[in-house]
Amino acid sequence: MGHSAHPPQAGAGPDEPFLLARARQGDLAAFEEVVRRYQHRVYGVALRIVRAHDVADDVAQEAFVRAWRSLDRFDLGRPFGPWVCRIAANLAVNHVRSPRAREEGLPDGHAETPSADPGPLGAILDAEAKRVLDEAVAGLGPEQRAVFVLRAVEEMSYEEIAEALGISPGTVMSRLFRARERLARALRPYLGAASVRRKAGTS
Amino acid sequence: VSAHERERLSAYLDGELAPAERATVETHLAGCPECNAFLAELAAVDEAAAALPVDAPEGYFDTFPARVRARLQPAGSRVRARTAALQVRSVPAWTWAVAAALLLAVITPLTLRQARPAAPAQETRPSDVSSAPAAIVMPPRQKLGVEPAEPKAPAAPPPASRPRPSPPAAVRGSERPLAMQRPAPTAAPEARRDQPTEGRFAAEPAAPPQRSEFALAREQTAADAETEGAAGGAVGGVLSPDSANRDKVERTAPRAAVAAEAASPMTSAASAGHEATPAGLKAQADSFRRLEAVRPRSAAGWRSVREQWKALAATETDPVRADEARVRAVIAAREAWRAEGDVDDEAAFRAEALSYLRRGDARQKPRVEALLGEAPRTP
Repeated sequence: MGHSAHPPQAGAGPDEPFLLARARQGDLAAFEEVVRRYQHRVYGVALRIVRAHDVADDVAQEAFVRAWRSLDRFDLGRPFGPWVCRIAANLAVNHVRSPRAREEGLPDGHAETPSADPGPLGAILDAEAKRVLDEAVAGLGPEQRAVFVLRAVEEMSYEEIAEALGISPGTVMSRLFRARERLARALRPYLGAASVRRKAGTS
Repeated sequence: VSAHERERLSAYLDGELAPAERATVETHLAGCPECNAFLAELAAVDEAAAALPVDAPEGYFDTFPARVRARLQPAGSRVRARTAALQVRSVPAWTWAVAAALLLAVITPLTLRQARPAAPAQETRPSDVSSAPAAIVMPPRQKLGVEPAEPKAPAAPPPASRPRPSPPAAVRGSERPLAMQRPAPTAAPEARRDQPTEGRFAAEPAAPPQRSEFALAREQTAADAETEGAAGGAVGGVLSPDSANRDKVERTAPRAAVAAEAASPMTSAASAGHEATPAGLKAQADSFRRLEAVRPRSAAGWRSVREQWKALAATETDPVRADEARVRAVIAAREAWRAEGDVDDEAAFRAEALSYLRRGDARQKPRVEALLGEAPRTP
């Protein structure tokens, strides 16, 4: 089945609770280390939703700043990553929803450019398919896109997504479905070949 | 297959169906190639999207943690007074050097003028600070090491890409208003944050009345040292401080930044050039500069900025600067309205503008009238 686990780039090292406890005491160096571990992931969430580096940078920074301010309320027994990603997603969506962002118009595409190091599916999907998918993601409404990113990339539950975006789980379900269906339509010409090749490669 | 059924497949993929529904779907899937294919397609879409790389500019992540940390320094007092000692122990050694520098920054101008000792500026304790308005100690919402790219057209709202993180709309239901969230920074972080912008302050203390609201921000980002020097001289000429008044303010204002600002000998600093007494002038310009730098995206953020300008106007003894601060409050009120189009914000903006226009000492009535005049079509 489809999901690959989230890459453990920002993975919870064994001492994460320790770092967070230190950070809660006001230890900036400890928090900086936490930021270092999660920055890629948080920036990734932000960029995938807002689709412009400058804004994603703002959002990512602000997410960590808010996490820092709210550390007292954070349950150290829970993973930090999903929490800070939820904050980032909320900030990102609020930005995209804001009248100002609408005035400016959404930046189009090219937030994600194919890298030289393709992931597992990157080997299957050619550059053209990636471009098409990227454009299709850009073409989603911001709220659909946020729901989709949080599910497909962050693998959050509907409940978590609902909480992050301030909508109901039912809305999460329908938005996610519409987003997926739209993306599937765009990607369909490429998926057939990909799945064929994939089966051939893996079985 | 109906849309509803496809939606259920999507939820099935995520393991979000209740057991009974899940069983139904599985039964159906067992005999329906079409639905199996659709399910596989949805899964492939997720996987492909997750595999799309996220690229940031080269070196971006090398500096990111430090930039976040720099923003945390002032808010370090998130941990209240009870843990202040712990916090102090955890700051790196270099901050002490910076603290010493700030101490000089405050003392030097005072000594030069043979005025009062600098004690108030250094004695601000976290407990005092929690009751102080955030206006004066608001940290700049700018990122260190990244300069704003483009001047803005005066009437346009700042683009989202402006590299100053603004206080975005609150995380749902959990945040207090901006001004309340910002405990005052300690002296050391103050100084550290200011370092990267050192040398700019000379141009900033006040804007000539006819300048547009974004003119100063533009100068801040674009001006080179020479124009800054010139502007600093010009502004200094306008703003001869009244020593008696300033001392009075200093005694009555218990906050570090106010004290430092009020104590700074603007005339001498300006005539000597900003390199001569950077620290004093810097302290003086800080409040204005910081507030100018704040460009929130949310109405709540702008409301907070408005209140901070008003607070600044109330404590400012120089009539030109106080006047400018009042105009800025009007502008911030207008931005709050522009941000979200709230009718309450519109009312607040109009009230703010009218209140300004009714003042006998208003120096920039045309500017504010223009703001009012163009207001109806902005949001």
